[in-house]
Amino acid sequence: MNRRNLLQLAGAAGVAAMLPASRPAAAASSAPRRLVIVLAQGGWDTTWALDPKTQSATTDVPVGAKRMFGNLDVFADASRPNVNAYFTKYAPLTAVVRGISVGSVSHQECVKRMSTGSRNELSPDLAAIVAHDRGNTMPLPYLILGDTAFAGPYAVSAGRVGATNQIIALLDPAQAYATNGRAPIATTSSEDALLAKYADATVKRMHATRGATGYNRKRVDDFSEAIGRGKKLQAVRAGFGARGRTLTLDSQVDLALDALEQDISQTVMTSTRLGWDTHNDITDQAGFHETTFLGLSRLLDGLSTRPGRLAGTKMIDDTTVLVMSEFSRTPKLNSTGGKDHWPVTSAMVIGAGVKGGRAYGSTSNGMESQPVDFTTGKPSATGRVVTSTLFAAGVLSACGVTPSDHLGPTEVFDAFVG
Amino acid sequence: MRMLRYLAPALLAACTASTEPTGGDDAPPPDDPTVVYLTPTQHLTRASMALRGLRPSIEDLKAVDADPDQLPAIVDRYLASPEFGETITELENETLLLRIEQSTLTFPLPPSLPDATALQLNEGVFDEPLELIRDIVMTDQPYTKIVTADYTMTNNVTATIWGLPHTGPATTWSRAKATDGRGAAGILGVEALYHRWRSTGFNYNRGRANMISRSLLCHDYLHADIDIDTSVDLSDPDVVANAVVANPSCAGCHQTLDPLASYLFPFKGTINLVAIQRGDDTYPVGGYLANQEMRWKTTNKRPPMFFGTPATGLTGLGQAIADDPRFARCTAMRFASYLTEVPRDQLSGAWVAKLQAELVAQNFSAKKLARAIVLSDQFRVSHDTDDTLAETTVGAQKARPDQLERMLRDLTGFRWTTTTTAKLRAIPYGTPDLLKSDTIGFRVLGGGIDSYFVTEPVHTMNATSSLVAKAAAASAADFVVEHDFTAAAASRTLFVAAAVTDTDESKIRAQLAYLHARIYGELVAPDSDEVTDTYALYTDALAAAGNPRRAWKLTLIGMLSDFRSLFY
Repeated sequence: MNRRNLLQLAGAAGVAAMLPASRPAAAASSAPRRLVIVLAQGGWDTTWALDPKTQSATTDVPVGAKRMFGNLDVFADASRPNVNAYFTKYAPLTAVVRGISVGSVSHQECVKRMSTGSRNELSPDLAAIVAHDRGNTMPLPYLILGDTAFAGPYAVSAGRVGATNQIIALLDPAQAYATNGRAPIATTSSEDALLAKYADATVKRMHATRGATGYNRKRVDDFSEAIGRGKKLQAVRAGFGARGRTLTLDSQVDLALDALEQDISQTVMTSTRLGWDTHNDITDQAGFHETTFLGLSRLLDGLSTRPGRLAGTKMIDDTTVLVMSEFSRTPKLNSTGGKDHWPVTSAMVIGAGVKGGRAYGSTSNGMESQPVDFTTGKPSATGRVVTSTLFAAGVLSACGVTPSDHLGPTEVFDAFVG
Repeated sequence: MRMLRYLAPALLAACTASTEPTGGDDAPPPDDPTVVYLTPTQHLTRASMALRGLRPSIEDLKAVDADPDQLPAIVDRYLASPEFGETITELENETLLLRIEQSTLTFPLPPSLPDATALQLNEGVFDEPLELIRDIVMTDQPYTKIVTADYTMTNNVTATIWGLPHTGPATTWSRAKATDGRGAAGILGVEALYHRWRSTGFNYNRGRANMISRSLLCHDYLHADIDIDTSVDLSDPDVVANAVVANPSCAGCHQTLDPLASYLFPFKGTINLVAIQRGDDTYPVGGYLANQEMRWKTTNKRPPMFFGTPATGLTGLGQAIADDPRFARCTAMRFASYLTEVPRDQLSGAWVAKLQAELVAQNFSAKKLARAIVLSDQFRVSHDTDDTLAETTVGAQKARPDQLERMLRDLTGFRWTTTTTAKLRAIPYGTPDLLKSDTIGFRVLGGGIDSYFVTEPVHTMNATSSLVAKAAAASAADFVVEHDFTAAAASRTLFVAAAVTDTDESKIRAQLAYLHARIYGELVAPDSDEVTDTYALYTDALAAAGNPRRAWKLTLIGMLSDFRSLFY
């Protein structure tokens, strides 16, 4: 089979023929939901909060005990007040999904799988997909404040702020970098109009020649679209603050809230920027959980108080928050008091489109993924394991995106979607 | 495969993770009736940008326009240029992911280099493997030398940190040999590779081994799924050591991965930079400890072996990799993918096989491999008139930030740098090229990689890369117009057909035709439609500003940030 045959087959009948016999994906909502992802990159230990276990021959757990926040059980301790405070306030909005099988113990591979629901680094991540499908007319549909993100084919809709928020140097002439003591020239709006006219003439010529269709056409159209997006960003530059800003989780949260509230962006990727990869001392997880849940409270406080898109609503009514780590950590401590990589993890999905206040899925005492009834989200001997792909499909569904449009024919774990 | 003869087929099947081209045997088909090729001058421009990151000279454009058969000789000249050496380091970095700016991996300031900047320290450390490959390629040694060379490259930083000899000017890279008996293994013997790819805890170099397999053989263990047997107590190293041999769910990958990792025990798992900073440890750093060679006996308990074949020491490992057919195939794939911007798994399998055969037949000459790629039909594809095939026909390549930096510097004489008070590990950052810096610059915002979090370049434009392109163009335009405004006619950089202050239409059009050739690689007449569009920009800008200098700056901003400038 040659390339032409293959493409024609896939285009014509291949997708339909490959659909599995399974329950269909939930219908996409019409609500243009926003998505904030908080990535705890490095691998959190789910026994510290999200997946309560008891000390046993198979599992080492920290100080604390299972505590109920409504119907949601969390591993908690007085020494971790920020965790308690978060769940005390926001458990009703929070769905914990346990036992997500990632199928790898490599950081990079698992970040890719959890972020994109696929194994291809050229695939877009969930925030890129939601931005593209639900907010692509915004100045910067996908705002990347964290470190790792996968824009894939939707790169034109994505933008990073840089390690020291240097995006502002491109947006605000007053904060632009000087070269050899000479400030860069700034163009006026009328000059920008001339430049746009010139670029447009090139685009038209390319459309008429090499850029009429296909890959080339997309590159030409992206070129044109990117100019417009850049201008829109410059118009809302005040939301980006000052150059040199250190992007801690708190400052990312503030930037994210501003960007979402001002409709600069539809989705935001943030990072806890903590060293979760605790091979040598698992007790570091205590502080990381505290910092993270403090930041989450800050995020949820902002979403709960700032106005939503419709009169009388708050941002939390149209924003979904996904908090995840690429994998979890081994049930048992290693000889240095740390824990190594484990291919099963838990995540939190919070806010709009989510049936919060309880946990979905489960793990065994040995931290294995347990089969789940995909309708109820409860453990079931006849159920199926929730993989990173099926979980990702559920998050897309919660955000009003049809998962199969992006992940191909797939089941969807959407028990937590409401 | 000869090297895999010791392994059970089932084990190989359980751990097949190569990035194999799937583009089909005839993709893209040279004889496809719907494919359209670049004109000879467009082909020259693409070859020049892909190999050098520079636009072709007008002389070369005219030579190829007059006689397309001139192209191969010009390509040979490009391959001998220092800019091709730059391209090689960038190509290799997209695989090895070495050019990082991370405080935690930046070495403390050596007392003997009190004025070194963080940029210089990181370049001195992380560029060592890249400089070795550059040296091998540019001196046309067999590419297999990257894993068999008995020397490395050092500058003053490299020499200070690792205790290697260095001759010549302090900041100039020169050949050097380690004297600790680590063997002739090219980049495999370079500590910097293992400082970038640290091995922590009980990983026992497995991540490093996969980095080697992924980079040099295009065999990535991480693409395979794992199904961990949770009855295995992963907290007990002895149990784990047994499971990776005897447990089927582990052994599929570990049967080959762990013996490969065992070659790397002489390299420290991590280098304690905090201890150096505190003064508890000193330079030079002993990154290679020959007496640790047998540490596999007490750790993973797997003797060093290359996919089932015994090979002794790093020298043996390097030779085994060089002899493995996957090395030649992987090299062909990496070069072809980089130079065409076609993802590896979309490359034509037949074309890769042909390139692989040529590479081997040409004594592993990387230059000849690059030559074969840029002179191929696959490289000179412009577009496809078949709508379905057009979707995967890469007919517009985007300049990476490194290429854009070189292109602007060559065209205008401008270096987009700035001074900063930023620091890494409390060391002054230095004076960065803004298109090459992550900490304060725009390498990632412009679509490049930071080799740490962002490991795939973006081959299209978005809001930030558009703003970066415009900002770079604006500064370059400002610089060259001001320069040429005051320079004598013979010393001007771009204004060769008109002075900056000329307003006569015929002169302006002649100057614009020159700029179209120089910047876009277009040989067009002064009265062509293309020049007329640009002339309209100039006259509109002149009318708005009333100032020829400003009008030229705006014209150049438009041209330098145009699609024809950013893509090739």
